[in-house]
Amino acid sequence: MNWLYKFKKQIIIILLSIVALMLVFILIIIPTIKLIIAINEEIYQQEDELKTKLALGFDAKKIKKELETAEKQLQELNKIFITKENELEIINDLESLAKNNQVEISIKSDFKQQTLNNNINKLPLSITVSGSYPQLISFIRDLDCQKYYYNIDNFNLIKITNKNYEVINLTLVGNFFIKK
Amino acid sequence: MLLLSFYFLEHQLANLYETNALNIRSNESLNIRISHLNYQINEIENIQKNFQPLQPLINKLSQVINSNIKIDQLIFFRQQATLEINGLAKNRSDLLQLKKNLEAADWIKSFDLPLDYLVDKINNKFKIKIFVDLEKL
Repeated sequence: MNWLYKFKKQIIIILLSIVALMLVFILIIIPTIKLIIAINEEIYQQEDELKTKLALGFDAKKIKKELETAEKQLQELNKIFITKENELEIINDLESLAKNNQVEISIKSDFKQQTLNNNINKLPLSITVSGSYPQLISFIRDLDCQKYYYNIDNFNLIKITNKNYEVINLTLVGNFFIKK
Repeated sequence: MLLLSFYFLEHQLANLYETNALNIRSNESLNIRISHLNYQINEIENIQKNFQPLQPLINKLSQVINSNIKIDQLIFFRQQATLEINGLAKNRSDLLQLKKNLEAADWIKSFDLPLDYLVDKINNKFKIKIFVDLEKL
């Protein structure tokens, strides 16, 4: 017991030091280690995500290239539309088509456009052509192949016979399309 | 030491977040371009779907009509996919032959030829309504 009294001070200091160390360990070191582990896990997770995205990024480069090609091709496809304020061009085209096939043509349209969707308007147009059967077939072939789309709603082909002549009338009702 | 490591790791994590965000943003602009392109292609596709060239229809029709049949009128409705033919057959057997030809044609779904037109022996006036399979033209 004398021995205990003799080192009382030192023992208290040692015990207090141990308690202080334990407090530091419990209150600082353990939470910090936990935080570091959590951050580490998060970093791994982010790294994985980034790796996946980078891999996609390489694909994205390829996609970007293909997209540029597709966009150029789309410009070609857009040629099926009549451009805005250029509606009269189609009348000239149809008249020259008729002239080339030696048929009489009459075009009816009030040029009132109808909205098809946000980007495109419809231009209803009625075409009547008169001529012989071979001339009409030739006109139809050229009309099918012309650059602008003419979507036919209906057609009426009728033979008109008089004492002096026989003629075939073809009336087409349909729409051209205009890019807004 | 631990606190230093902690701050270092936190800085690393912030960098990673930023890189990821940049990546997402660059992909977003690509996605917008792709969806815009898809929209435009769909618009054109819809127009193409409703485009019906007339020549294949006339060609197919001329294959089923023999020389003793005279056509006076043809009326076509694209949305209903119907074709009405008004004409004159030289005699009953010519009209029956036309009926057979129409039955054999793969581009015709069905047709309506009333029997009244087959009563006369010669000069049979007729009116046929054909339901066309536009995809087979």
